[in-house]
Amino acid sequence: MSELGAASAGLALAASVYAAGASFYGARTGTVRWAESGARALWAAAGLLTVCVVVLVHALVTWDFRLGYVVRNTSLATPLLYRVSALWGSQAGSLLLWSWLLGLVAGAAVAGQRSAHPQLAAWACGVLSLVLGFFVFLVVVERPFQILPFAPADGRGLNPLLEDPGMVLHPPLLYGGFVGLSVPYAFAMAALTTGRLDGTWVAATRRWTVASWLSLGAGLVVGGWWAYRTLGWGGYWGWDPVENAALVPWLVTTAYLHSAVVQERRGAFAAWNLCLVVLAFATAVLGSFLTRTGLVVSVHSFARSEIGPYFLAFVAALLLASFALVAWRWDQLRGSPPVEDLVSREGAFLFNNVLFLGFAGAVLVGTLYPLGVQAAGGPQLFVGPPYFHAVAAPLGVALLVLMGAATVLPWRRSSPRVLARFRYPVFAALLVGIASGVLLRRPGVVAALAAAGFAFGATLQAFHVAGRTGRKAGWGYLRGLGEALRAQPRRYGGYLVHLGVVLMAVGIVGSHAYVREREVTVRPNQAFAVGPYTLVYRGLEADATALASVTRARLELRQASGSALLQPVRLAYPRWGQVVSRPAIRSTWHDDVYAVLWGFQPDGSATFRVWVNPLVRWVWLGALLSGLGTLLTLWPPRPGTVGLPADRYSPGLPISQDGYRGRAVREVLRALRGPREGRVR
Amino acid sequence: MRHLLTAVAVVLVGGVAAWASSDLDERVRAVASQLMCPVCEGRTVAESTSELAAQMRAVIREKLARGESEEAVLAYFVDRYGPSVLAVPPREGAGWVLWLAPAVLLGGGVGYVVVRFGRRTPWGWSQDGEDGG
Repeated sequence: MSELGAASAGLALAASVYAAGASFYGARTGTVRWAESGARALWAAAGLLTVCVVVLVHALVTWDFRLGYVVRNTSLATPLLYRVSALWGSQAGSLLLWSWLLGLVAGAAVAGQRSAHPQLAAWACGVLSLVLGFFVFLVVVERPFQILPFAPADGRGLNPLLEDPGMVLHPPLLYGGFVGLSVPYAFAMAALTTGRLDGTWVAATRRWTVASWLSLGAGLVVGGWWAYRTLGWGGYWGWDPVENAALVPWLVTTAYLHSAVVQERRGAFAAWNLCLVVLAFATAVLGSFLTRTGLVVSVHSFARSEIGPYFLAFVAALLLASFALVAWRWDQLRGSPPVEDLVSREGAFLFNNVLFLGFAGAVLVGTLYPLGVQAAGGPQLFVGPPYFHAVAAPLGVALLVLMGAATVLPWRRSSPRVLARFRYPVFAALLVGIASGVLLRRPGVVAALAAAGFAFGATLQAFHVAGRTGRKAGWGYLRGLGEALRAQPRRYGGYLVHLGVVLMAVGIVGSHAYVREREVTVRPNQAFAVGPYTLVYRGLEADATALASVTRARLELRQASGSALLQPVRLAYPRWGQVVSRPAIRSTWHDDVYAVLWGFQPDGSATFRVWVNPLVRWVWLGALLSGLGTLLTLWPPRPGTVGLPADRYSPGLPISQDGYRGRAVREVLRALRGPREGRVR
Repeated sequence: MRHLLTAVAVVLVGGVAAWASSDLDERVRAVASQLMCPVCEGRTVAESTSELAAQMRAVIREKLARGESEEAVLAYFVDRYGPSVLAVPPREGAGWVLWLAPAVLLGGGVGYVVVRFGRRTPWGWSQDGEDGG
């Protein structure tokens, strides 16, 4: 079986190289047969990689200990779910999963665009095949199907920290995001090569971009959730280099998602969007490089290897080739329509791009700085959370303000009349600002909460306008909201994402600015206070699982509404020589009490670290809402939607190039046009 | 909508306010989060679960309780473990690169946008832009 896997990997490499050659030749000469042949070879590569994955998963599930990979990542005690997820438990398998996902995504993207945009699809197929070839090459180098000279009776097993549902989801989500970004990248390259630099490639790949962004974002959140529940240091985001490496492409993609809207709407930012897509994909590859090579010191250094130079060469080649293409087409790209007025939605999107890219740049600089200093012969340094907090906090506040403003501002230009629309959001900001100013007296926190209030007010106002329009039309408020969502899922889905971001922002502020923490050693039945809570230590229990000896502490949490029992555990895994403290968390909308059993003495006394983390739940809720909103934006708009009755705020306003028209004119136009087919995009 | 906003504001702000105070725990945490744990990878002393980090937190607590300033405590650890114990490199020499880079990126970006697109037309009373997504 393993020979089949190794052979499939080799064939997949050959197929992707052939696919690249055939696609490029077919696209260059306009020969349909070659382009077809290239696409089929890409699909074949995806199929062969599927065979590889099936073979490796089969080996993992059936404990085929002849394979080194199976020995290193499973043991007879590993349950089925984690035997499957051992596929991405270390380097070689991760790269295989990565390549397989890339093969599937690339194959599907090419299949989807082949008939609509044959020429673009042919070039894109070539680019995707090249990228795929590179990753399959790494798989071949890493030899996931390597056979050991002697098959041991049992394997070493997965790192116990990784045996968690969060870790089953986290890597595939991140990889899915990284891999998906190759699609807009490949079509951007195709647009540059063919000179079709209008918005075609942007529109054709929009869903891929949004889905990748969602997958990447979900991967980051699930990673944070896993860290919070498992690692026992009281937080969910540590500005670890590898977390940063995944955050950077997400930030760049966020910038691109916004400026892509401007290109679709207004035809502007064509060159800029190309650059953003290149940066997004390059940072995604760089991110995978940092993750997989253990170059930077990180808790994620589960895997280290020698594939670093290949990665660096690939990223360098990718950046060089892409920007050379942009430079080659520069004359054509310069002519895109200008931004008329900075006080407009385009203007807000421009500043959004500056802030998100500045954010991404700062995170990248902070992450790579220690490497740079060491490379220059300097001492070993760290750039830790204080730096990133100092950068992220003001940027976050600015982004919240911008998010609110962009929702209120119209496209193209604004008049003083537009200012009147700011009254409710500004009122919300003042209300939250004054209330928090009186209660909290920390300027940074007050600013952040006021900004969140502003963005919240602006976004609610957008929904309120839709609801009110519905009520005026006699449909009722709720139906107005529903119609708006169904007619313009992209816009209102986006607003839902924004609402989620506001909730997350509030949670992040609360759980960073007002953490209470206590480290105590107590005897049984002794009480101690953490923040507003009293905890009583009620003693230890010993337990054992197949792999670990478990010590469970009983902590009674006393609060006004009664008492709750927290049971943090300490697990000792003799096989790995590893001791793991699993926190016990009592979570409410108000705060989390997060208790970790730190150690214990023979006399029964125990040491705890207990945190009170305010508002953490709002982070998860906000993330969930953002995810749902993103899914909505992927939903196709209902065809033939009758526009909502118009007023100045109407979400049903037809998109026109010549600005605001009178209501009567619009009614006539709508009657003439008949039922509209979706939005004009 | 105003009622809703008020309600939300009260809930959130009230929730946060319950813990708004500053005491020794808070100051220990502030200092500890500026130090890297020397034996574990990429965690601050505040976050680290290692034995050494626990001892370092105890030392920080003791020194702060004795009335030493936060700077003095940091300097003590830099003396013992070298500058790599700091979670953020000091703002001197090459360390400035770290702090100037975001400023340059953002300042440059905003400056470019304003210079390139800032020639705005006067307020157009007759013509408003469009709404829509």
